Amino acid sequence: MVFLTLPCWIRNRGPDRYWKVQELLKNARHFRGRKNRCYSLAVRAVRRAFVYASKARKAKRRNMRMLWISRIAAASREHGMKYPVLIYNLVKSSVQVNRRILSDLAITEPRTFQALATLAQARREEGLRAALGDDREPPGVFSRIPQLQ
Amino acid sequence: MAACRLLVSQGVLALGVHYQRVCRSVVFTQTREKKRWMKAYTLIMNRIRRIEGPPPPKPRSQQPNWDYHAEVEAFSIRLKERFSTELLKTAFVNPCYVRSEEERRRGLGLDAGAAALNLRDNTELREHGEQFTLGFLMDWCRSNFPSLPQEAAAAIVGHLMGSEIMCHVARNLAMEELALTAEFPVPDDVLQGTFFAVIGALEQSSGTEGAGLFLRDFLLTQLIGKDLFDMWKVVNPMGVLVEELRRRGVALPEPRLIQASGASTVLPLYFVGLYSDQKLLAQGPGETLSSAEEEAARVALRKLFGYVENRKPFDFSPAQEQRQPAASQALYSR
Amino acid sequence: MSSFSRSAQQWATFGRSWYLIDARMQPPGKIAVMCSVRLQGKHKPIYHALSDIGDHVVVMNTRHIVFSGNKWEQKVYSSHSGYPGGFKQLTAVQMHQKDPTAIVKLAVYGMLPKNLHRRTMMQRLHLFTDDVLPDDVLRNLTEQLPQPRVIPRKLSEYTQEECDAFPRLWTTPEDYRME
Repeated sequence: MVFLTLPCWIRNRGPDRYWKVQELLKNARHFRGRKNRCYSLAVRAVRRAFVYASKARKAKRRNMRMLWISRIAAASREHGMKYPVLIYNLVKSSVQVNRRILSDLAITEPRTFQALATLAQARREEGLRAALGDDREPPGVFSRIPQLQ
Repeated sequence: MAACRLLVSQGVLALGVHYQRVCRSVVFTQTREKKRWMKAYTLIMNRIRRIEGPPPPKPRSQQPNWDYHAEVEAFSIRLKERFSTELLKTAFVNPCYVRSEEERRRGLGLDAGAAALNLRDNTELREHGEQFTLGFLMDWCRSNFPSLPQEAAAAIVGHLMGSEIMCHVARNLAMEELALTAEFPVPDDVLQGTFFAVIGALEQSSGTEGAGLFLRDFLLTQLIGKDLFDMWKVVNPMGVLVEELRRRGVALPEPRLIQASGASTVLPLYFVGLYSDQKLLAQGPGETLSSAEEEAARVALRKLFGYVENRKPFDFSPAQEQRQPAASQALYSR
Repeated sequence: MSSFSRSAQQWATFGRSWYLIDARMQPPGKIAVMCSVRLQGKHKPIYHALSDIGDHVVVMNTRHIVFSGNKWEQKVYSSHSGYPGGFKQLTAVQMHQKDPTAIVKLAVYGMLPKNLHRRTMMQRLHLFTDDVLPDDVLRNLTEQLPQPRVIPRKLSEYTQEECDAFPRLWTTPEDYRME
């Protein structure tokens, strides 16, 4: 391009720097120290923060699952069962309730959780009962055994 | 700026560059290129907003693209109710609006005859709707909680018909925008009156059953998650419990300490059980023995009145399905 | 259990209970497992690492704990004061003679998560050397936990009938001479 005057050339330079800075500082306003107002410091901090945020999106799922598991473990211990036993027997009884819902049930609906724990317990002792010649289910438990066809 | 002036003087006016003074220190230069004036303009507007505060709310009717008739029609269609449009329009006219409008006309210099607005306001509809709502809610409370005493039912109905709940529902049904009032934002009592008037209009246009279903769907749903004693303030639950048990002819309650923890710390926890005739009525936790006993009395009252947390959910099924279980029950009972 | 008022339910949910554990003839590791679970609140379905819902644990009879094997002589508790020549090593016996609660305390301390909550949780652990508890602790107690290990009975505690009725693998012959 040909610029006839200096001002014309100056105008043609990149976009207004103010807006670029504001766009970045918007993400750094809650930082501590000079990082929240000085562009050159904020640039790096914001970049790091975005990297952490990306990693945390994955880590959050993992941490939440760990939390649910420790809660279910606590609740199943109340009913005299360990966590792996509960989950294994629930899967065997084809109870398709995930860990999030199980932990919610353990907190807000303890009776429902107790019913699930009783079911798992019945399922667990099923083989022993059959071996002893008593294949009736304990009173109050209906563990429907899925038949594969 | 010097550069701009230079350009102007060089006769670049043909390109469409001209000045316009917006503010004292901002020079608004309309160009087709980078908006250099934008930063100063934004800063000044921010400062103005900071000094003056947010602008007063503007009713939707004073903003562009507003068709009152269409909006009223849309209101009834949105709710899937059959309103008669005249009645609905009348229901939205508040007496304060008529008064202020006439005053405005008189201020404009019209004589008394021409200034009079021949609009019916919603006073009658409002009273009608209030009566209907009161009757319907009381009937509903009696049928759903048969063992609830009169004052508790009255407290529940009073809570539902109070201005807080009514205004919340009305605002979310966009009645605030449709209501014709003297001032905006609409005061709570006026909005509540408008809601009553709309209920009255519905009752007159689509009958008692339709209006009842409307109330059930929009007002009674506000009861979900509410505790009995949130609405019914009882100072002495033990006295009420004793009275209730005496009325039913059951032995009087006898409080006993069931569990305790941390009794000598600053965070003690006591569980008190209420026994009547050797049977556990209810138990309640508390920070002190007296508060635990009061809590146990409240729990016992909830159980006696059937307002427990794990009660059967309210029936909000559509009108046709509601009748079918009754018919099938009748079949089974034969 | 339902239909409490909200404030009362909150109070009951987050109330701290006090557990009593009798450490007589118990291995300190097993005692420490029970303690650390309850101090962290991991026995509650509402557990969260940051919500500080651990309970109080009272351990009595720490003087009468037992170790299996020759841990009393072999197990070494090491510490370093940070100064030159500040490295100290005590066997379990020496440690126990110095402070009868120290073994259980160190075991629990090692089992708690290594974060800033560890000291707070340790403050909720109350250790007593004997079965004499102060009155204000006794009043707080909620329940006693079952011991993790069944205490074996000594031969002297068996009666003669029980000894005779005990099943034998073999009967010694008449002419068997005990060395």
